[in-house]
Amino acid sequence: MSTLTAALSGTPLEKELAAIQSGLERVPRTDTHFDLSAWDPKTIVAVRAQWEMRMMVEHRSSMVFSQLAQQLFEANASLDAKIVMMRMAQDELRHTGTCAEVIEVLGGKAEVEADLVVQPLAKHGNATPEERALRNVIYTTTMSEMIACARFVATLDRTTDPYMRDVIRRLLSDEILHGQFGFHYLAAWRPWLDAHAEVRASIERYLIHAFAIFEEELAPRGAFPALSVDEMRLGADDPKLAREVFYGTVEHAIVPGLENQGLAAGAAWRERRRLA
Amino acid sequence: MTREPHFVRFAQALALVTGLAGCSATTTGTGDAGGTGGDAASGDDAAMVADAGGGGDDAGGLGDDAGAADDADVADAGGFDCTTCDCGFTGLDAGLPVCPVEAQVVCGCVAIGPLAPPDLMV
Repeated sequence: MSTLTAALSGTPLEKELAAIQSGLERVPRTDTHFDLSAWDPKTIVAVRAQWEMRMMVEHRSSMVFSQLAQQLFEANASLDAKIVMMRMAQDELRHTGTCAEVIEVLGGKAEVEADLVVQPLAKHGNATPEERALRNVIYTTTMSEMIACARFVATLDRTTDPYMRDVIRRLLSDEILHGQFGFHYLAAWRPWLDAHAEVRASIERYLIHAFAIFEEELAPRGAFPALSVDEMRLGADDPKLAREVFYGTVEHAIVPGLENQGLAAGAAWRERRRLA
Repeated sequence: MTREPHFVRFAQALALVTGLAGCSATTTGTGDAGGTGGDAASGDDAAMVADAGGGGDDAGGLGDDAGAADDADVADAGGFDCTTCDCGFTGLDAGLPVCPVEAQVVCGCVAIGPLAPPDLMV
């Protein structure tokens, strides 16, 4: 384990980073400030712990997209798809910095213990580069990131603190791109899939497995304690809400979206189970 | 007739975007994130869609969905033997984040970002 921070280098690279940041931000920042003294310290500690977790997860997510960019190279994906995927990897790193900012605003020190070993991205055995990339794009963006979008929307709807709303909106604005990426990618690859029916069938079989894992990982289970009103106002994650968001988003957005791209996702969702 | 929750309509707008008529790259909302078909690849549209998440009267007034927590039943995953800690996060698979409160592995409730896709060799 290592100590992950969002520390900068103290060199002119910081100026270049600032230029990149301003160029990539999809919504303008507001000048809201957070009044730490207005909140119960216990609530702040609980919310801060979530942002510490989020900082670590965002950093790890960048490893996923940066490796997926390599798979798009191997699949001979379009130039825009490769560039946007690399942007998305950058977004996750920028989010690491955003989380660090929030941790410090909430009175903490932006240092989290994290495993920095890069876990290799799934290669799916002998799958061709094209199918490998398609499987992983579908899982990471049309599934995983779509849930992230929907959770942020549901959370934002009950977040009242101006500073936290601003931060969540900034993250959400990037997640929108990430969630949609796969649907655009599938649209671009549809003629190829039409010409390779065996790959479409293989991906649909993969979806049976992928949906099972997806549900295990992102549909919270258990007896959930109710969040306090202040936690909701600060945009704390709510496992009970997250569970509702998961099923609502899968059944009414992700599955129809994949079906719209010619994949039998509804059947795969109904038949979901681990295949290995 | 009960409208679908805001988060559902929002997600539908993203998932079905390529199957819908695209909206112009303006920040003027159409009043229903589920029907804008906004192209989020555009920064302006991203702002519009993000604003639609605000639950206020921006982007055409989606405020009536604020909260979005109707009592609709959610499917019962069932069959999982997991331990729930005080913070509500549950222990499941190895390799997932550890709950900062109870030091248990958590299910990824606070995970925002792409999860690593599962491998399937065949």
